Amino acid sequence: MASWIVPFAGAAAVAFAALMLLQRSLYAAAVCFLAVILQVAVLLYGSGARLLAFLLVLIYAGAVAVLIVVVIHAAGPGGGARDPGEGAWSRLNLPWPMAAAGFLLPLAETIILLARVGTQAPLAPVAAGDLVLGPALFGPYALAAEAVALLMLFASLAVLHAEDRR
Amino acid sequence: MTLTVWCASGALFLLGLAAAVLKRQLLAMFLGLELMVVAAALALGQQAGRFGDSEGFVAVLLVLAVAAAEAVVGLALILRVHWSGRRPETGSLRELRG
Repeated sequence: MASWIVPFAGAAAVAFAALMLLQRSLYAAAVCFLAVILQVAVLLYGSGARLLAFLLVLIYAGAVAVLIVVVIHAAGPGGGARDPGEGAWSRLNLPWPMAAAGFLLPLAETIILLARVGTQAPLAPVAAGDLVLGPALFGPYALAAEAVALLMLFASLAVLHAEDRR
Repeated sequence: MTLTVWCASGALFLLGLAAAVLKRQLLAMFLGLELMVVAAALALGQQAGRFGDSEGFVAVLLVLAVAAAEAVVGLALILRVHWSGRRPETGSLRELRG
């Protein structure tokens, strides 16, 4: 019954990405980007990569998208752009049903996928990778995980340095 | 289902590439780059989920973490360009200076 979820989520992700490309307001483009991220998370969940879907929402919707919106508002209206149409940084020039669909569609798809658990066979085989991700991260890939953590620390320090030189 | 995810991943990558190439504003180009990273992560994550491969999961997780660090630095640079009084567009950035 719910096998249509993955093709639907894929089509919705591509549609919102195309919408993002066509937007002149960067705020509307950021909202479309967030909708794409949520649909991609549904795709990953339906493919059996459940932990990755959760982490994608956590990192992109919870951190990167918020940073983008903060930058848009910190730059102020216009954002210094030459073209006044493109300069509408902080205006949400997106029909509200479309903006609402960007958030409500992934929510409905997730509820349908969760309701499927326990009642029908999963769309994808249970991901054994989810269970071994932690041991792999803190086992053979501990050095890589530490290196990435160090990279994120350096990135934040670089931002502080740039702020000091302002 | 694999073909569906691959088609969606390819389309997302191409749309991100189009945004990175066609847009003039730095933030719009940045959104396109992030879209390309997410598309690649989707294809890799789908295959990892299909085969239950922990190494694929680790690779996607590291890619997402590196992309988050890249986002922090990229957005700070865009904001710095804006604060320096220049337009946050590609045309206004023609030379590097230490």
